[in-house]
Amino acid sequence: MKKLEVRKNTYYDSVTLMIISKEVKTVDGVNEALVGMGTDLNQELVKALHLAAPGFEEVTANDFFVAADCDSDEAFAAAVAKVDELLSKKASKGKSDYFPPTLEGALKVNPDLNMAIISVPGRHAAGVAQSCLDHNINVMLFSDNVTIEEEKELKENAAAKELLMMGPDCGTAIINHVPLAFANVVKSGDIGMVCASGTGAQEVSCIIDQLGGGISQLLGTGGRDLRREIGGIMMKLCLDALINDPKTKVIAMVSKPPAPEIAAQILDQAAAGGKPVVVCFIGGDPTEIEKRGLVAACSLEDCAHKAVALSKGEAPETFDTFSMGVQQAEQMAAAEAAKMAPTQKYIRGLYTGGTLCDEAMKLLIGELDHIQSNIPLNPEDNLENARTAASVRHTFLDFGDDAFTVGRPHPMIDPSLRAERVVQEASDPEAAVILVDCVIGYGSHEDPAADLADAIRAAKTEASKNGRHLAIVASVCGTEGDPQSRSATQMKLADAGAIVLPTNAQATRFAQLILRRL
Amino acid sequence: MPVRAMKICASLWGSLHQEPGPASLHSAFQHAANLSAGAGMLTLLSPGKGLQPGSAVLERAMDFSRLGAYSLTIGRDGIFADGAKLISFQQAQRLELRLDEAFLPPGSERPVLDFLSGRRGTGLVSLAFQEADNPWTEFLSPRLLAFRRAVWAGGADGARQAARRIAGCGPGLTPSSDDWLCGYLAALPSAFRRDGTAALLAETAAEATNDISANLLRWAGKGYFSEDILALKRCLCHDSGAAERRTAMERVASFGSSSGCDFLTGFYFGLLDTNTTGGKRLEET
Amino acid sequence: MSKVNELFEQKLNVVNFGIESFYQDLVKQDKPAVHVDWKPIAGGDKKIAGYLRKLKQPELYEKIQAANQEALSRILSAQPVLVGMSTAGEAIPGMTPTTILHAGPPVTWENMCGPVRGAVMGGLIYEGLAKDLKEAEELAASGKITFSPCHHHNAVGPMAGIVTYSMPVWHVVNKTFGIDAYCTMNEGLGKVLRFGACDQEVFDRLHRMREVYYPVLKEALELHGEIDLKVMIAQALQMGDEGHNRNKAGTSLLLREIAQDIYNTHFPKEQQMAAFKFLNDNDHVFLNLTMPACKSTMDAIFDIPYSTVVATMCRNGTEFGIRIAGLGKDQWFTAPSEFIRGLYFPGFTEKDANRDVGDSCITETTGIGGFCMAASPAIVQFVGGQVQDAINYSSQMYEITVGEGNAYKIPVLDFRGSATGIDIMKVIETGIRPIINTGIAHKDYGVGQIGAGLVNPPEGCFTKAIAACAEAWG
Repeated sequence: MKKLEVRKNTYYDSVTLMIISKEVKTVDGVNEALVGMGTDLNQELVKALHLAAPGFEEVTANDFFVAADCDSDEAFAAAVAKVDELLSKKASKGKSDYFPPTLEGALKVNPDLNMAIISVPGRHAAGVAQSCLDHNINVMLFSDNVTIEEEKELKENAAAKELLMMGPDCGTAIINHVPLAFANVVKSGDIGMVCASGTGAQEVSCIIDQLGGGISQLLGTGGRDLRREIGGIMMKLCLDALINDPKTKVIAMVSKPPAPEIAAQILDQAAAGGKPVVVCFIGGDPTEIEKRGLVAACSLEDCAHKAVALSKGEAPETFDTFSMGVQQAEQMAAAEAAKMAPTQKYIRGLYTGGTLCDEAMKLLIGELDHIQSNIPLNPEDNLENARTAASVRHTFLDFGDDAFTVGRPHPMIDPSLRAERVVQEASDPEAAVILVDCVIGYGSHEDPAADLADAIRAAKTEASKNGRHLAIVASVCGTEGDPQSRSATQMKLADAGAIVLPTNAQATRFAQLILRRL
Repeated sequence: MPVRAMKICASLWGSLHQEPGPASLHSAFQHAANLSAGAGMLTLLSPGKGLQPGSAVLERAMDFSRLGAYSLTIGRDGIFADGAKLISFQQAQRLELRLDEAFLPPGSERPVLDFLSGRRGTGLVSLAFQEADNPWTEFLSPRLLAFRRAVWAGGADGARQAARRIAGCGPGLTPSSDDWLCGYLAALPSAFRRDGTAALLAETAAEATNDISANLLRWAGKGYFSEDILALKRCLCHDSGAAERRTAMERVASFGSSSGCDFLTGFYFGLLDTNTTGGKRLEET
Repeated sequence: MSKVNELFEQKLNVVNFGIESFYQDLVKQDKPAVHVDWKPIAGGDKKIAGYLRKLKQPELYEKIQAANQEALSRILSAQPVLVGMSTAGEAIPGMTPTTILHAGPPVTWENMCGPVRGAVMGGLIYEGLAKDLKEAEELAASGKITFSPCHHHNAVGPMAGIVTYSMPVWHVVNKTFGIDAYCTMNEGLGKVLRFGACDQEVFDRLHRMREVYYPVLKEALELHGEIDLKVMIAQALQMGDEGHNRNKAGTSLLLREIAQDIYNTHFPKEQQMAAFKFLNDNDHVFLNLTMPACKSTMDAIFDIPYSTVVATMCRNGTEFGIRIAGLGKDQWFTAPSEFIRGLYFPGFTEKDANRDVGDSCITETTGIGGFCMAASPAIVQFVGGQVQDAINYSSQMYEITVGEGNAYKIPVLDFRGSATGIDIMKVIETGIRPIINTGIAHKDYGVGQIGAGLVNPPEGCFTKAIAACAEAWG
């Protein structure tokens, strides 16, 4: 039945009216409702929604109305009561300023809590996470230094209750289009992601966004989930959820290569799900993946390309080239190499994103044999005391690793240490190429490009004073929708003299082109 | 002691007579009140609010609902309740809120869009991203496109008809589409104000919406906008830093519940049509 | 379909622990989020956290929770009533002509702070036991005087809290449990004994109180009959008092209640008027009624085994002391009391301040005073804050109490009952200490009040208490 309530020449605060329009529809027995000032157009809309009750013609632009289609008079009375309740509710100023000290206190403020982000010091993290699970709250655990035993116990408890227990060391997730912690503003769409790495997830989701695709859910598992000790508990739970999610058409899975028997279980589960799945085991062997009819990706960028192709109903094709074209890239690389002094031979990768650093090393290792690093691909290439030690030959540093973060915020929040290192590398006569990432989005520094751009300028100047030409190759991980804006960030780095490539994989391949010519 | 007005819209003040004339309380809210007087509508705002056309910002908050109990008169000196001075305009700073005619350079819509991307889901913002996520946006989407086409096709009648077809749509005290239209008008090149098109469009829309919204539309048609909006335009014209631009947009966006964001959405489309496409290729946007 | 798929259909409501910017990002996007001001339990002190764990063992914890509910229900069911007046010597148990009661936990003459010493000496002179300060000081140090806390004698006293044999006292009874409580009459502001002033002006007033005002008021109360203080305090809270530092409304209510009776006494008109004027000129009259009302309320919870509710908080100017319901009246947990953060009267600075002193925080123990600061916007400026701070303080107290009041309510919090029944386990767990708003005394005797502000009990009181609980029951 259609019902109407009119208040002549009555004006209410906009804020209240907006809230009311949303809330009235949630009243039981109310199918559709519209609340507002009785302007011609609002009236027309009421008619279009078939909400016009008798007497509606007499409403004027200066009247406030509630029009609803509801099951009974009682339901309408309840809707009007709701309207009055909301109208009389004064703006609860400062309520959000109140920070309760405990979870119990938080639940009093908002009893509907269903997701926790936890970034307390590692030794306290498991306790906090468990208390959230006890209250049936899903967990995203960003803290590190959580023992593997604690992780296993938390995940087993979570899995028993079918709750998410993302992490430890999980920095990125997008649930129901809400970016959590370090995540980007990506378009919504039908690609569901489950990732064991934070910046890997950011890179893939951002490239998907650039390619016109969108994300349904982006779930994280933490870096150790696919180890034998944990057995992929969370990966399995997440995969299952994405398989059952009607809004997810294509699944993208990102991880470092897992333990083989865990990989087999996960891939079997993925293959049985009936949805197209793109698997990016960064630097891993594609055989096991392809054997099961799943799509293997050779880089984060490739993963995004293939997922978007599948989402559009196209055949996935491997992308391992340059958006600008190979020829153009070759020319630019040659021009860079030609300007360099004979001493300049090596690449220095300086990363704030761990997975991006890892990916770059894996793309390069085939041609370089040895890359010194604080997160080395081979144990013998481990760089001790990375924070103070000078770089030797080809060196890659992950500034998000413990070696750099003790007593400091994560480099994505405070990128100054990395910026200093860019300048420092410039004084090494053997340095030819500096490869950097710049991760934007929520959680990240509000303008990470500013510091980096200054450092790039200083580095270029320092090198040229000494008769050298330093190539600085950068990529920005982010989207246009991010608060910092991808294009604005790219512009700042390019203005400072960096060569900016669209993705980390392309930036790495471009650096490789330069190195080949030295 | 009367409450002092800190700032007052210069045009409003100019339109008042020395000798106080009668006025009545039109509507009162927690932080604002509207009075109807011979000169039109006058808005009183709590401290901390940006000055709007036709308004005065007070030095301290007062209970506006009390005003209904008095017989009110308004003159250049202030507002009198039952003959006693309640609000004084004497020391108020008189601000001219007219939009300057500086040219907004191509590309200035970009930061506006970036800003709006964080506000998707608010009011009409999703329209800037070619999404329609509520009955109002669905309803308005084709009409707004028709309006934009009509504005650039020339010929006042078509544009007027189209303006009438978008006025007063949406929830909120100032319906979203009216805020959108104010924003759109703010972005139009000065030629539209000089030849009276803007005023005509505003007047047409004002006739189809409520008094409060109509008041703001009429000011917008004449080229008058709030302090915050003028500041935003200055920021965009002079290519200020990103942080400064953001702050300026935050201030505009914080107005009302969705009003500010709806304004920015209209402003974005206005800039887009003026600079990027010159009004020629609207179908593609 | 798993629960995770259900989550996908829900609106995300996020709780954030740790890095605050993650919360701010969500707020920027208008997403519902709550940030927890998380701190490790007991500031990361493993030993204290261990005690807490011990007390949280399911079987014991169940007993504790039941005991605390019992404590809360006793607090809420209290019925403090003003029944009349007498002198300390007649009424207070254990009182002798050479006994001096003082505020706070037990303290020796040697350890007493300036204002308490001043008040003790003043008390001795007032009682005629010494003729001047020098003699009073010698007598106090001689061992011939019995010093004892008010709290050991069913009494409470603001600031120095000195009670001597012949002083008139208000008599309050918690009728539900038949518990008596006594408190002296408030002397007013300025140079007063409770702030350690002890000159002729002080003695003259004290004498007038006993000889002139007391007889009138005693008879007026007899004529009037008992007065329900719980109802009166509840009303005062709705009139802008918080029950500790602002007592204007309560005093007015009391005066309205007994004005007629004062004039119906058999005393000469001048004496009636003097008594009336004495009450009327002093906003703080009602504090000395609120305090015994709270005292009689809280003494009812002492014999509840396993209760971790704080039954007493008080300070003697040197130490802060608390007692725990489940551990009984004889165990004090003390630590040096803190200095008050607040505003000073012109001419005084922090350097002049004495440590926190007085029994008046029995009001906070009962859930009013600082716990009701949101009820008293007028007091907020006096203690140097903003209205929102007051609301936040009052809101925060719910985190450390067993429950909420049923009579003492805060209008600005939608008449929510004030936080009631401080649980030391919650204090330890959250790191939030009770908030007390109070006056600041000068550290030298004879000067008086020099400001007002906010203070907390020292953490040591709570850590010692929880250790004792764990030891006793763990």
